[in-house]
Amino acid sequence: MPREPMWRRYARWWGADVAGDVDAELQHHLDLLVGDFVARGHAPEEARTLALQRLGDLARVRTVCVAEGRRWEQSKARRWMWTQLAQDVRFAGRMLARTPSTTAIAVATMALAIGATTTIFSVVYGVLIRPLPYPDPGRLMQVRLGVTFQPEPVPLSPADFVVWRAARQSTLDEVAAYSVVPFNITGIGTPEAVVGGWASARLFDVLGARAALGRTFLPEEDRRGAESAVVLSDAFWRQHFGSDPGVLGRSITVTGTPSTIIGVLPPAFSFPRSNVALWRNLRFDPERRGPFYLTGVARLAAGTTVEQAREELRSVSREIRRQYPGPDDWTFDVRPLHEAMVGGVRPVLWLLFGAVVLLLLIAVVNVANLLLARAAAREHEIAVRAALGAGTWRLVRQLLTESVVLAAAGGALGVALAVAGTRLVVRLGGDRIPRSADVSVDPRVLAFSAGMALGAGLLFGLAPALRACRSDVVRALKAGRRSGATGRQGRPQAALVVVQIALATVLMVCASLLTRSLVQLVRHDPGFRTDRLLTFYLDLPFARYNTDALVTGFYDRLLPELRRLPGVESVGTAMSLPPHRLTLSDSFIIEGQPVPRGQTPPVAPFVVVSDDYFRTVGIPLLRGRMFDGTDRPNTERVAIVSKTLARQHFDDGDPIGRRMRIGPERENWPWLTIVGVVGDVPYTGLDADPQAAYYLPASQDAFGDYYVVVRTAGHPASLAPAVRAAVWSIDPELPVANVSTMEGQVRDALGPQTFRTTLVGLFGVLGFVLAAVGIYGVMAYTVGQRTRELGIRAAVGANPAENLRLVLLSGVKLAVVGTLIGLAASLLATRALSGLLFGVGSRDPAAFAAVIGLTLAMAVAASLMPAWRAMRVDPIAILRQE
Amino acid sequence: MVTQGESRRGQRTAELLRGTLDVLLLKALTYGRMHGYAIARWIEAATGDALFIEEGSLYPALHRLERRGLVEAEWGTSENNRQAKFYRLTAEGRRFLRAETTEWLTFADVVRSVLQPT
Repeated sequence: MPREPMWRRYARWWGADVAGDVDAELQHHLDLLVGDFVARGHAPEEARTLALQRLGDLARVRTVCVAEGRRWEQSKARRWMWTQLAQDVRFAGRMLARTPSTTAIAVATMALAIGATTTIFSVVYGVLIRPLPYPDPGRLMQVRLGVTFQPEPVPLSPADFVVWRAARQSTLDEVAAYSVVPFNITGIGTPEAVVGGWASARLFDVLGARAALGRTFLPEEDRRGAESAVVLSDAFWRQHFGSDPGVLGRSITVTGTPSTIIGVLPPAFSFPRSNVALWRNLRFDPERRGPFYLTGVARLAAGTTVEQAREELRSVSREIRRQYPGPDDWTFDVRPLHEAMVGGVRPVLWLLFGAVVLLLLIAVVNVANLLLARAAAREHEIAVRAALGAGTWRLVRQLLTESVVLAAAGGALGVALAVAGTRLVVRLGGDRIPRSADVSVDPRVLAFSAGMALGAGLLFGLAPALRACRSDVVRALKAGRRSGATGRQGRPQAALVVVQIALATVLMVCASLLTRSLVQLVRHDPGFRTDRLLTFYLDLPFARYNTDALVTGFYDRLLPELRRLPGVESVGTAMSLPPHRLTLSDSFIIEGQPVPRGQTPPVAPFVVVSDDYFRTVGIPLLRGRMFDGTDRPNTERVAIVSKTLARQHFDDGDPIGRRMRIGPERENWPWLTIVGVVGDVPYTGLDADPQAAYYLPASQDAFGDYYVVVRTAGHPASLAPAVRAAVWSIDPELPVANVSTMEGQVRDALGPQTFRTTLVGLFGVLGFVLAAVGIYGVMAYTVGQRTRELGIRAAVGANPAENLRLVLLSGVKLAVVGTLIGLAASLLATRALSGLLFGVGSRDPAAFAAVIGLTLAMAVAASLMPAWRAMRVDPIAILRQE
Repeated sequence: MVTQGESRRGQRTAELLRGTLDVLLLKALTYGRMHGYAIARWIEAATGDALFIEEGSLYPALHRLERRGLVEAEWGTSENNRQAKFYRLTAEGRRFLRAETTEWLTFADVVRSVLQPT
């Protein structure tokens, strides 16, 4: 290493001066040259001129040298920094290895916390933040209809779409429509029921997707008379055609219609969810304005806003009302596609994110306490280093490096956990998480994790680092190797534990509320009997069952066949299945209650059922009678309504004998006489309010697709094979879809609630455990610090039980303070939950009380062991040490 | 580094000569640590003043060599009691010089044998 003379050190005290150095160097050379020329006899000015000539273009030389010099200084500084950092990291590693158990606990705690945070963030990022995977996704809009008093937009009808598409628009570049429906596929071996989609011709153009093989639809392929064509998803192509490129031109039968395969989509394409197996072209030929089942997708033209599009669509809606006179209390609802897809799930995801950040903070506090305890033990070592000349900044930097190394190790482990965790959470969420294909631990999520780890490391490193700054060197040296009780006695740790308990309390309150809500939901009487019920779904293809007679004939054969099976008590069919499988809603009017002009008539679930349906499912009859053999196609048309419908539309609650009609626009629908009232059952989820519904007998209205319910004597799932066999004995080519038990359906309906309660509950438990560990740690530390004092107390004659009480009390005090703060914070925090709770207020006293009780019990339990040890302090040993 | 009269020889020559200058500087330093002026005088003596080099151009070359780690610099006092920046070869510089020397001499041999009248 070059030695630096003292004069140089002083000259360059305030840092390098590259320009000065270069000048000095050149000046030196110039002086010597001038000296030479003078020695040869030239006059001084002449000598100087000659010397400058010999040196050449000094200005350029100077510029180049200064530039080089600066670059050199920079690289020197960088290398110095890296060397220091490497030194610090190596040293940190050695220090951490000296206390393996503390290090292991700290790393494990961080790994758990960062793993959980990363998992949730990757879901939040993939679903809410990441733009949709289509070109220029910000311009994609969803178009539906907004009807007054309906909270959510409703689908379009084909008539609406046709008029909209024909209108000359400047704000929307391309428009398309789609609908996701179940399809029965045959012609590929075994018949299969899949999720498929109807698409207008330009759907893929709007989304900016191209076929990987073959083509997508041509513009003329959604008009009347076009051939039926199918575009496969990559997954379907792989699974059923083994990725055979010769699949183009082959024919498969989709819901009874032979269709030609014209293309295969790329593997990355997923719209609107990843489970759509194939798309068929929609052929538009609307005669009236209905039914409503399409969702519109459009691309906003460059330079236009959503408001402008809405304005333009208002004129389109006027045109629709002109062509199809009817209600006018609706408009087009245009919103960004991303918003439409993920808006519903946003509150839950941010809830989860909040919960997991709380957990991270609790973990950080835990590790901070761990490190504080360790720092106290190292006071002597740090004091020696300070005495030997280490600056305060250097010491602090060293301690912070240790913390960051800890955090980095925990973070790396945590990310590994998160990769598995993300997959688990996505599987747990299932269908309810939109865009689940977009969720993964990708570079941006990793950057977030790294940031979190760094932040956490700095946060929990601050505590011991600040302590090091303030430590009294002389006292610590004098105290020697024995860990110094420098008067603080763990007060910062106690403060941290209080914070920790407060945070954990908030988390536990949320978990407790959600759990009680879920329990309420599960206990809630759904209005029918959910046990011993087998359900499945049949969709009779129109091609083979194109008359009412054929349809009724099928079911007339199937139902008795099913009843004959051993173990079957009763069988029924229905168009919709409680609690959450609603197929169709339609508007209705009551005779004598005309709908005011311009208003939409009331809408309610419209369910066609077989005679035995109510009995099979266990829906009670409240008034009148159920459907029976007297209701035939040629007898009086009848209907049954639900309790809520009766209450809402009939003043005395007695609708028996009154008449109603479906869909006032359908002029040729007959009037129906109401013959019975049944109990309410939910069709849109277990947490829905009791809703109106009306039922028609299957014997008077044949529909081809029904849910079939079978009440069994024993375990319902065991009858599944027999049921399938029964169906296939009548029609071997009919797929039997969605075979499950009603209990399974209920579980499925509870999916969203179960999802969030499970996760928040898990975080709550983790937070609780961490807080318990925190209390234990602080108590153990305090007892360790106060051993001398406790021993003297015992020697002076205090009851050993006193010591126990002392420690227990201090532990409980911490818990009480923390819990009070936490409860106060919870009162604010749980307001965010109120939309997600069922049957439980956001200030539910039972939930709060449970948390208080748990926390106090935990505080006592965690303080018990250190308290016990405090009790057993041997006064003789302590006195001997004095 | 080319004199004004010969600046028309073109850039390529200048670059070729810059590499050569580096080798000369490194060779000079094998004789011990020197400051820039001393190196200039050494080259003058060693080449018998046959090459005209603008002495200022030594410094960019020296600084570049320092940045590449082939020479090391330190400040000290020169013979006439002035502050001067002294340069010294590093181990890597020595290795580099050995390699370049071999290459250069081989190159010169080849060219000489081509140009020599048979």
